[in-house]
Amino acid sequence: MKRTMKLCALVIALGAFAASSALAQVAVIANKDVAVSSLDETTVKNLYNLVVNEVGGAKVKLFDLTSDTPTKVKFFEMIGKPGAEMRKVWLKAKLTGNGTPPEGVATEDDVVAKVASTPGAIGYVSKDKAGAGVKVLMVVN
Amino acid sequence: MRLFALLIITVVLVSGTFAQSPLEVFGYVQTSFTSFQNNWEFEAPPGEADYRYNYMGINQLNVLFAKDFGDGLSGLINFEYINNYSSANGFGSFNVQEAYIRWDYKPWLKVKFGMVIPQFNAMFEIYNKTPLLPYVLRPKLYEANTGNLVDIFNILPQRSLLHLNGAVPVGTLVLEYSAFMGNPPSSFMSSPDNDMIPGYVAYGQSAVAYLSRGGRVGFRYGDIRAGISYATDRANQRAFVKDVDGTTVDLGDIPRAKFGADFTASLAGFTLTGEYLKVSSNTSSATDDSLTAWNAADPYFIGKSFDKEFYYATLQYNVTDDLAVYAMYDYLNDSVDPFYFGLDGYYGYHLGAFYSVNEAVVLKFQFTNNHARYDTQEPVNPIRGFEELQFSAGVSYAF
Repeated sequence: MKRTMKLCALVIALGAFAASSALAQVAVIANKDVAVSSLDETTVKNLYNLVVNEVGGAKVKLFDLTSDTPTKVKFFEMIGKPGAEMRKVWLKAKLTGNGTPPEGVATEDDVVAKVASTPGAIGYVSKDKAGAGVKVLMVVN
Repeated sequence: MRLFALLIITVVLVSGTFAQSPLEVFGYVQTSFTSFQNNWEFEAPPGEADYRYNYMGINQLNVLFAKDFGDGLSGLINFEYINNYSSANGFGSFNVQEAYIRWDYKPWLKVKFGMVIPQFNAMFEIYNKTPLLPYVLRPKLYEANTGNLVDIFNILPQRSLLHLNGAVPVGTLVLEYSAFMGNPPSSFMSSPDNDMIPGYVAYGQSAVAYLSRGGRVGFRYGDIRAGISYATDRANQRAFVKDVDGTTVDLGDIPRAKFGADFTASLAGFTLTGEYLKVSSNTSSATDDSLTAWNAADPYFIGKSFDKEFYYATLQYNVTDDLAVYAMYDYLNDSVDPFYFGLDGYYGYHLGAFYSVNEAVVLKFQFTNNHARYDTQEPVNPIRGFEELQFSAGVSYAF
């Protein structure tokens, strides 16, 4: 009986770990008309740092979550800049006329809806939110 | 019926206009308080004094208008008001800081045409964009309060008319470049005080044939960014003041080269930022001899060369994402002007902190200790040190 209990606890713990890992994954999503099927980390960093503004030869429109959710924190960890520093990069681009900052969106559901309906759109959401209306270009583990 | 047709035409025209993105209006402000005092070593020379005063107000206020016209075309206009601008009281100044149309062809080619602050070193492009800067009082060359000491366009390039820039990712490295050309320095622009070709050249327009030119090449690699810059133009020395009595001589238009280097790196919460600028003038041997003779006659008033130098270095530590502290050293010298820059230039130590309340509002604090040393030509203690102490607190916000 004790053995069975231990096994159950282990299964539950593993299940919880797997679930939390899945939740922790962030997907970089795109409108279905974006001409590429995947992006590497460097390209995503260059896009959100406004170094480049096109993918597959076509201009893109970026979306960003307005509040500091765990998804956003994890995404900007991958970018290599905390949210405050990233906002400074975007403000600099706006004030110097050197780029268009991402459009802020309140919720992950809104990001999915905006990306699905905007040609050339790219955004990020937790992986389980990425639905059939968009395509996943990269997963941040 | 006619009215109805007119209404339809109007609606079509208006909707066509607004098919482009709407006009964006935004800007930024810096308001600050500074307590100033200066001290002369031994005692103040004749005509000088030890002063203490406080001042507060709006150092910087910029209102920008931007519009995306589609097809990669966009426009930006930047109006600047500095130092408590008031036309009624004659305070500060107002000017069109930038006004250009931009064409984004590709990330490696962006073209701006109009009045553009060029990408020359790292700081120039953002020197008056106060929400992006940690300082209340900026490094000397860029600080509006230092504007009476040196015209920044004598060290930095004049605003450009045509500006190309771009970025080329090569793996994890990003190569950057800019190339620009524009008006000559302001001293070649016709104005009520400097009517260069009366009856021919309108005020505000250049009265010489040549254009200033320059550029920057650099790279970004992770949190490291560095570059070198170069620009060339001429200095208008057609009415050079050679002595304290105001006697002028014609030294002509002196060609000069402006060299720059910039560096920024971040590691473990620390960010080191620095810039170096050097202006080298190509004077004739006759001009050099004249400067030497005038300097011998009055070393307090006139220097031996037209060379200029500026640098600063800032070490910042990010205590949290929103709070940072920094230490800065800066140095500025215009060799021809010892009356202001003394024997060794004008240099300072700065300690400061800033706190980002949110993405729009930054609180700033700064302590500044500036120094210079002058040959006063007084019979007792002719070489005297000069010190400034400034405590500043301010807030920058973007709207």
